[in-house]
Amino acid sequence: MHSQSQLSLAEWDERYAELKRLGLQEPSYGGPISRHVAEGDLRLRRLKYDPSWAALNLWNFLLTEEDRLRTARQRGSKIVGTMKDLGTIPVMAYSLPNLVAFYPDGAWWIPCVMELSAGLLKVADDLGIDDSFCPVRAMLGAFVTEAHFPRPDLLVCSVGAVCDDFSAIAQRLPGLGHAVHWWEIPHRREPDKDEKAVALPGGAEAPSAQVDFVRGELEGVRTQLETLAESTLDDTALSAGIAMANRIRRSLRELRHLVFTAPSSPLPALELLVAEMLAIHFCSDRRETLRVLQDLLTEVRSRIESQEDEPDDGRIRVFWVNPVADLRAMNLFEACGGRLAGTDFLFAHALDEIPEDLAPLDALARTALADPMVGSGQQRAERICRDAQTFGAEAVLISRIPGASHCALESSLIADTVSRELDLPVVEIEVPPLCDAMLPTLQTRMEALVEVARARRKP
Amino acid sequence: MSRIAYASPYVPAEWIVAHGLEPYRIQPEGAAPRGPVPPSAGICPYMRSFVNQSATEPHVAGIILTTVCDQMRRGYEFITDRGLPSFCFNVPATWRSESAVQLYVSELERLSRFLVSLGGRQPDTNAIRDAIHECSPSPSTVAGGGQIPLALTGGPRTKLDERLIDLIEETGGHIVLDATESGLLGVPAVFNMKHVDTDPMRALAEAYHSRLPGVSRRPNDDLHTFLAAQVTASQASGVILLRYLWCDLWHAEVPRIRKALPVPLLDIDLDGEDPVPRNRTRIQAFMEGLG
Repeated sequence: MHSQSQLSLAEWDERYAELKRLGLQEPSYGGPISRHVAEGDLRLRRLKYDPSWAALNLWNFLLTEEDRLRTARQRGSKIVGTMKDLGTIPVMAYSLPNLVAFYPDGAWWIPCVMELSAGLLKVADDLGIDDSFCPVRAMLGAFVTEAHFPRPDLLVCSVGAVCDDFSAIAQRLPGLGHAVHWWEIPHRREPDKDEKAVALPGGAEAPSAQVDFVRGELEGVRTQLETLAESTLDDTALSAGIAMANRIRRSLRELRHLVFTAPSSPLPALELLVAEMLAIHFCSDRRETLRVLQDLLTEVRSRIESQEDEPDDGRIRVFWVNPVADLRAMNLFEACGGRLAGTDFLFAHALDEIPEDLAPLDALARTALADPMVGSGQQRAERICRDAQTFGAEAVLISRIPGASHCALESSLIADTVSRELDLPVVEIEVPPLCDAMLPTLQTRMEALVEVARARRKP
Repeated sequence: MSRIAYASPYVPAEWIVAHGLEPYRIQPEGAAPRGPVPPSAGICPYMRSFVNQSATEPHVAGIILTTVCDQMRRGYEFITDRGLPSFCFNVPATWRSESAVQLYVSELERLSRFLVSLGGRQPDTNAIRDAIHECSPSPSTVAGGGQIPLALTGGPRTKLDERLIDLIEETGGHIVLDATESGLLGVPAVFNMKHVDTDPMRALAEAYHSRLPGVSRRPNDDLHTFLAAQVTASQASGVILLRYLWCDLWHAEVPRIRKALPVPLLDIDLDGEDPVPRNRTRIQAFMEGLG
């Protein structure tokens, strides 16, 4: 059972020293996790970690992205800041050899990771973006301070069927000197009865006309990328980019399947969340992302093999909806007796394989339209139900994002659908960027969910 | 005649009239009636008021919502969940490209099919031209008998919110410009009659999408230019911005609008309840400052 062996930061330091003595070979970004605390990542002191070498690399890879971006720039690569679409545009950008893409959106975790010491929320406050907005407002602060990622050479942002928080915040960027290329992602609607429909990754459908429209918008993005890269992004290069993205997505799919279905959870929830995040933009290095995921897979397979004669760990299998603003909530969840049996961290479309039997931009248009945020809440709820059944979830936990324009409406809809369709207990929580003051409340709600689910188990 | 309820300025009333139906742009009462959308933290009070009212009003044959904001887009689901005839109009946030215009036009075509399904008739060019003459929208009238000229901007308002207008008048204000979504920002641009004859749906798209400044458009710089010009022309001494709690789109723009305007701005958030008690002192102080 992994939770018994999770390590504190201090314990990881000791283990790291021991591994080094044993001749640990590390990648270039290696080192003890605690070194990131010295760089300001104070939250790391409060987390519990998986003890494996693979998890060490996962953390170090995640926490060194800024270094990779700066190195890429020094080497002459151009940097694309791609916003909101979560998973599609980076596939295009990385198909060109001299482009590197990242999500400024990811700054929403900085207030957590740096325990508010970076002052990004204060900067956002000063710009009139207060805490009635989602924590992604930290991104605005990061653009102003220029201390957390290099200034992008190109900013691309999807608009239309996106959350208003993000759209409103992104609209402030041009006024701060950051030009944005906007591209439209329309609300995914049900095809009319006599309308040609196409299947999307993940099981939804969209009218063919909407796919055509999005393909046209992606053509516009392709032109922007080509201009920046000063080279052509042809279909051959795009197909190769899609194939590479799919290798990563397949690894992640297997990892998720193993983690969600093993008798005892072979990887903590926190590390799985981080692993899933890698799929969105490859943490600025596709090849290394694949290597990190494959190492995790090896570790997980090995743990499952060693579990064969052990009983089920007795933990309650929970499907988790939405990412948490404070990573510590994932540790708390396991301390309350839960384990993951399915996730929808708002980017399910970044985990589904991109069709390789279609023209590449057509395939990417379908992927973009498969975004759970672009369609109806009902469709998202239905997929959650399907996945929860597949992974044998016994309960569903909906983690609301403070201030997010979609959560208030979507959460109740998902909760109602899960209760109606699956008859599973559902609990909603809300996790702020630093949840310490709310730990007792969160713990009570998580424990209640676990207790209710446990009581429903047949003897 | 069947009534078609809607609230968004991006829905062309002319298109509904041309189908032989009655456009019913609801100004919600404001004290949200019971209905599909529950009272819950984080839900826009205006959206809740509109959805719940339109879902329960008699004589409404169909309801149109738009994708202009996240809350209205998701409010549509609460109506369809009740089995009411409803339509979600996909209004593109981008507006400078030909593809955005085409998307709006294609949504008009889809809306037409919806209206026909409710008993409307397929319109011809004459019907559209007649509808344009019939509708000829005009901005809401200015109000107040006070001495201090004021402008309004911001999102839409309910009937309950109109009490604020009374309060402004009581405290010495005279509204010379209503550039809210219930006012000028809800009035389409002048139609290009040549386009009406040759390509009527494009003419509608131009008037209601390409040339109607709005806070949700990307980019939305033209909104700021528009407001600055209108406020200057109106000779208002100050501007009151009305926005709903949880309306991120207007909320995020407040600092930019303040910067763009030549006169002071008072930012008022509305919560769906009577706006007077919680805003009386602020408005009084603002008026005193201007006076």
